[in-house]
Order: sequence, then structure tokens, then C-alpha cells
Amino acid sequence: MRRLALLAAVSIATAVPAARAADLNDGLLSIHGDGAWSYQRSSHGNGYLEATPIGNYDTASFNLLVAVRPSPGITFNAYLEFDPDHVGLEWMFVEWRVSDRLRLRAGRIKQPIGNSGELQYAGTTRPFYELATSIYGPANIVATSFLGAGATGAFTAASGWTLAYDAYAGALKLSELETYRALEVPAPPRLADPVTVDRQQVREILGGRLSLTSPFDLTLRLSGYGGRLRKDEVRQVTFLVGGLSAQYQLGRLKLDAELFVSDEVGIERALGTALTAAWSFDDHWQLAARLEGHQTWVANITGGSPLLRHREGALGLNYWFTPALVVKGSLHRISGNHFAFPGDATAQGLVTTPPAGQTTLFILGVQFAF
Amino acid sequence: MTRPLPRLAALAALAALAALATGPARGAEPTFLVVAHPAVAVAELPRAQLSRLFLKKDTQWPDGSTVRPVEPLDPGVREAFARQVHQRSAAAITAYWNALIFAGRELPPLEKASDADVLAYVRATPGAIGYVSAGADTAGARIVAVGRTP
Repeated sequence: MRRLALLAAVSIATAVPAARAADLNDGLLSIHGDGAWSYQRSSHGNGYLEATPIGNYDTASFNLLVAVRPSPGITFNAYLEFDPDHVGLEWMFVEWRVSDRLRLRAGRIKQPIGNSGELQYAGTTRPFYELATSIYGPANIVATSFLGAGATGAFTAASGWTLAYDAYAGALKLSELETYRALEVPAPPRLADPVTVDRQQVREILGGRLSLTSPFDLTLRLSGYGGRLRKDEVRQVTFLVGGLSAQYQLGRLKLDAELFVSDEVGIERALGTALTAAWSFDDHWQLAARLEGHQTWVANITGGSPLLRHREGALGLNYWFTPALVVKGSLHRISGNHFAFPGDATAQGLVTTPPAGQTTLFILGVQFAF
Repeated sequence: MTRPLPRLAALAALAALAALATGPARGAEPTFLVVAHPAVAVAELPRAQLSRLFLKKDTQWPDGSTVRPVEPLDPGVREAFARQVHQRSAAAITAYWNALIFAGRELPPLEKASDADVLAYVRATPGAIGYVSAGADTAGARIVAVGRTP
């Protein structure tokens, strides 16, 4: 059995260098892809991310990126997503590169926000299988893409410093888990419905990001956006998000820190923060640690509750066969029930029968790209 | 009275560490040649600028034409080019491209199976720049020297 596992590992490792992107007609058409599968198991009767208390195997996903360049300045991009629940178009846009300092884009575009807003599906670009839930999860802060138009570009000085910018306008959809709804006074409707991820559209958004990268691999980012959020048929509120991010690489050490706040003005505020460190012992073995937290304040909820809170610490051990194929294992300890709760719970049930306040999560998975 | 010897040993250890940190001797022969389309009016490029061209941070030649970088698949030549021009490992460059590809930002340079394929593309494509192993027959392409300035 052990020999079989070793043989499989060696086969994968030796096969990967051949798994290259397809470039047809000298780059006119390029095809890339990424995929992931994991086993995720949580404890204490709570589900979290894709994890369930009995263990979830059904997590496979695959994404296909197609880029067509009919001329040097024009690119059509599409990113198709395949997972157990659906097949979808994650983004699709056309880009006109006027110069390195000005590139115009229109369509459905990855949201340029924070360190990883554009890389939510690319597992080989990070040390943990999943990004920090407190910022990139259903935390009412970051979308996966926006619909509209934008401009981007970069200015590089001879000294090696680079200033990059993004500016965009349009609409986006946010994901939110309102586990705390039954705490609101007066009580909102549908408290007997199972708690699921809500998606709400923020319209008329204006957003941007500034990234300053030093010659010694330190990047600082300032990003944010604002727009109008329709709460129901009559109510519209102003929605604002802003945050600071930093990334640093020194030899085998990688550091990543982010802090974001969101504000549904007059209704709800949230703060999400995450700090990740990863150390590579060599080209293959990597140890990672992450601390993150998310807190929600709602205008018509008084007092604190575990349903408004998420704290998480995680340790991970990764084996990189190549930069494009990695096996990741991680153990997470979660406090609070904003994102960790029984899978079939209703909002009312989470208040009348509080779930366990502590959850342990185990993830073992593989991620690849080509 | 026994202090000088440990100090000497410490200096020797520091020197050894410094030697390890600086990598191969600076005078070592390059294992690759940088080649460009004959119409590219450049005889020498500073290392940092060459790196920016292959990382697609600069995508236009001074005359405004498009830079079209191309790379061979040979892992040995790629590693040498990555170490000497990008001053990073080839694995780090792959990780750099993974982040840009999946953000929808940029695609890596075109890849060709052999030196001959790289040279054929470079000779035929205005604005092309590539690199090949040092022993390749570069007739018909412009050799671009890598400047010693950073």
C-alpha cells in the first residue's frame, strides 16, 4: 500500500513538468487551468467552509482560463468554473492595453481588492487551502468580481519601485452569512428558514486600489469601494469598504497582513483582519500559520454574541511537488459561530439552542495549476 | 591568550557564509545567449531592464513597438536565466506567473520546445526577444549583451 502511494506520488511529480499551458498560433489563444480537491472535516456538530462533522469529500473544483489575443493590444479573457454544485462564468472581460501605464477593461472582471481579491480560486498562489474567511469568505467585504469597466496600470521607476493602480465602476455581488438575524429587535421575517449564504448586489460602485512595491519585495496596498446597497423593495443604503494590506517576502519567509472594514451605513459594520506567515524549509516543504478575526456590529442588536464573532488560528504543512502542484494539510481552531454552525440550523434555532462555541477543522487537499 | 583563534574561526565562517550568499563566481561564463529580431536596435540591455521585459513589466521598445518575449522549455537554461537575470529561482518565476495568470492580469512569455524554435520565432517576428543555450547557432538573429550595470 505504502509502495503504491509512493509510486503515485512519484508519477505525479514527474508528470507535472509536462503539464503546461496550451499556446496556439504563437499566443493568439492561451489556455490555462487550476483545480483543487480536499477532504474537510469539522468538529462539535458545526459545519465550516465546505467541512461537515462527518467529513466532506465532495469538494472537487476545476477552472479553465481562456485568453485570446487577436492583436497585441487587445485581449479577451474568460474564466470558467466547474464545481460540484454548478458550472459558471467567473469572469469575462476585454482589455485594451493603451500602454503599460493604462489598460482599459470592460465586462465581468475580478475585483482588484486586497492582496488576494483576484486570486480567490488559485490555490497554488497561497500557503493555505482556503483564503482567510474573515476577509474573503461570506464576510460582506470582498466580492469575487464586478460588472462594469475599469482602468489599471503601473509606473516603474529605474530604482525598482513600482506604483500600480486600479480604478473601477459598476456593480458587484457580496456574500454574507447572517447567522445573527434572530438577535435583531424587532425580529425580521424568515427566522425559521435554514441559514444559508445570502448574496446582495451593491450598485453604482466606485472603487480603487493603489499598490506600492519596493525593490526588496515589500508590497503595500490601499483598497476600497463604495456604492448603493438595496436592502429590500424600498430601502437603499450606502455601503463602504476600505482596507490596508501588506505582503513581504524575505528569502524563504512570506508574510501577509490585511485589515478591512465594511459599513452598511446606519445598519451594520464589520471588521475583518488576517495575518499569515509561511516558511519554506526547501523547495518542497512549507510550514504556515495564520491568525484571523471578524466582528460584526448590527444597529438593532445590543450586546455581544458568538453569532457575531469569528476568531481562527491555523497551522498548515504543505508539500510542493512543483510551484504548480501542492498537497496541503491544515488544522484550524475556530471560536465563535458567525461562520461555524450546524449545517441545517435556522436563525431562530441558533439562538434557542446555541451551537458549540469552539470548532476544530481539518483540511487535507491537493491544488494544481497549469 | 586563546582569543585570536576563535575570532579567526568566526571570520572564516562569516566569509564562507558570504560566499554562499553571493552564489556562483561573477566571472562564470553565461550558459545562455539573449537574442532579438534583427530590427531591434539594441546591442546591450541592463540586467534589470531585461528582467522587466521577460516579466512583461515593460512591454514596449523605445520606438513604441511591442516587445514579444519568448523562452525555451529547457529547464537548465531557464534556471540559469532566472538566476542571472531575474535573480530568483525558476520556481519563484513560475509562482510569479501563476499569480498574474489567475488574476487575469498577464500571460507569461511564449514558450518554444527547442533553441531552434526560439530562434526561428525571433528571426521571423518583429519586436521578438528570447534566449537560447550558449552553444546554439544564432545566425540571422541579433545577439544582445547583458549589461553589467544592475
